[in-house]
Amino acid sequence: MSSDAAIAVADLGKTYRSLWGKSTHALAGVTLEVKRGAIYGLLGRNGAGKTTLVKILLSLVRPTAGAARVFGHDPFDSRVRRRVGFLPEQIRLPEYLKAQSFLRYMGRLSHVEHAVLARRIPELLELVGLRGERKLLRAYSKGMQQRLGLAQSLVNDPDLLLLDEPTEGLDPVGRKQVRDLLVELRGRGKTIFLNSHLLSEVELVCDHVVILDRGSIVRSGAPADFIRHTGEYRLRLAEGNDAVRAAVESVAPGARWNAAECTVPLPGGRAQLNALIDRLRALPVEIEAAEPVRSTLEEFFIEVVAGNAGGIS
Amino acid sequence: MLTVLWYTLRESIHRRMGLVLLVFSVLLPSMLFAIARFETQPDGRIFVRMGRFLHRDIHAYVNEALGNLLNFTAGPWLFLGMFAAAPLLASYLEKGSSDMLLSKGVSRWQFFLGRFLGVLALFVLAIVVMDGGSALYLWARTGVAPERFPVALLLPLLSFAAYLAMMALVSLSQANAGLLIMVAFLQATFSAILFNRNQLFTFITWGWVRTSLDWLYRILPKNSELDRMATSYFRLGTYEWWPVWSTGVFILVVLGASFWFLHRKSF
Repeated sequence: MSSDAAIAVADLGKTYRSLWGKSTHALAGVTLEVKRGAIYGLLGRNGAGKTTLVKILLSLVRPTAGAARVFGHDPFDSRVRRRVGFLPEQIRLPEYLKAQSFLRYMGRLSHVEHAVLARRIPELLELVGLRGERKLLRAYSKGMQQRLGLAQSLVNDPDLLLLDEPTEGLDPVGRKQVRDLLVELRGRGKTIFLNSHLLSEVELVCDHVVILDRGSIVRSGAPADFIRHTGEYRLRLAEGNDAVRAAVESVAPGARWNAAECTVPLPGGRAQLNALIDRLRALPVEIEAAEPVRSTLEEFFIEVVAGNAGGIS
Repeated sequence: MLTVLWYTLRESIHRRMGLVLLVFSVLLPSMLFAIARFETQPDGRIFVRMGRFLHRDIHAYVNEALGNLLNFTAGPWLFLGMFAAAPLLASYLEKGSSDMLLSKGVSRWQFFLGRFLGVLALFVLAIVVMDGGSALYLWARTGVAPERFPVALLLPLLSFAAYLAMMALVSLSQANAGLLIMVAFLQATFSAILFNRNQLFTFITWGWVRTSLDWLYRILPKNSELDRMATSYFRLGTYEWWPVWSTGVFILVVLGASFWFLHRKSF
């Protein structure tokens, strides 16, 4: 395992055993290396082992096989955890505190000096849009709790950030802010390990994606490697009357229509697209837009996971 | 660890049972002394008038008042303390809380010990407010120093620590405040039964049962004895070391076992 990596796990396994001897394999032989300064996305269905992997990296769960290293150290070493920030999927805030005192508590648990906290806490509250909040945490909405959860994960200025569903409960503006924040943190050399069901977000921010299924890594690579041209083009036309539809059908049979927009399979590629455009312009009909259709990460994920298990549960 | 201790204490104040414990700790001595009128006689002696009753022996009055408070501390206050402690021992282990707290840069054992000491500090605070405050008040009003009283207070504190250690150990398996209170009540009941086991031996003739009960008595904490000894030590100066050190060993062993379980535990 490379000690230069932010996270390095080798042949990692975790088997849960019930009192009655029944075994559940949460992880089986996971090997993974996360480079410093990158955003990694961890994808998988419910029960795929994502949370178990993250918890092992935080020493919350003991592996039954293999080893995990964070910055080259055992995560059970509390000193290495001072360099890590974590936002759990389910967060339970101490209701009796206010945002400031909560962040001070979390900061002190990570051994951040009082003077540093006095400067950093207002900055963090500003960053997550909670500056000026004077309410007790028991009065916080789900979105506010999530924002504060994110702030507590940053209170020790971590080199590695483990985020479990960071945009859960946030409105679209909040989600965008989180995405921008992650990109900014990457720019500052931070490593981010993101666990999310929102694949469109993962696609937008991650440098590398790992798909976990039934405790094993089934795919790993850059999102661009998984997003490919489907061989179809999407055309938006000024009108979609029968004459236009017939013209399209004559060049590219099998088009799917939605009002004046059509998706056409063009196995001939760009040459066939140009032929179609010439045919339409000859009618004449105005073409407002023409673009290649690419598969999304979500489609790729469903394809991989369904292929691996015979259907999404 | 000090951070955990401090925030546990803060949480205890904000939780109703912790607050109730402290409010009662102020109210009880306040009520007790509200009915007492200290009257200085021409010869300098101080009498205490309580309604129609007049205490002429100020030393006896101080001993009686502090002795009664000690009985409260070693009795109802221990149970109030259990009710205040149970949710504090359970809350940090609940889902959503343990993940966040135990992933920080503090060792598990430090967090556990900080929590344990934080709850203990709540009980100490209640004792300081109720007993310490009362002792100082009486000393100031009467000039009678509360001898042996501070040491006597350590005995219910040790008893409470034994309850707390057991509750903390059980919380690692089931973070359920109700269950923890039940465990503490069972411990109190067993402690009383084992202390008076000779009465049971009148009915139990099986040798192995007697031997088992004897061993259980030796192993388990001597809560019942400690609570009684607090009063007897304060009033008469009589004490035994055996219940003290054996309970101390029990606490250390249970805390050690808790550290080990916590170290092995997956969240």
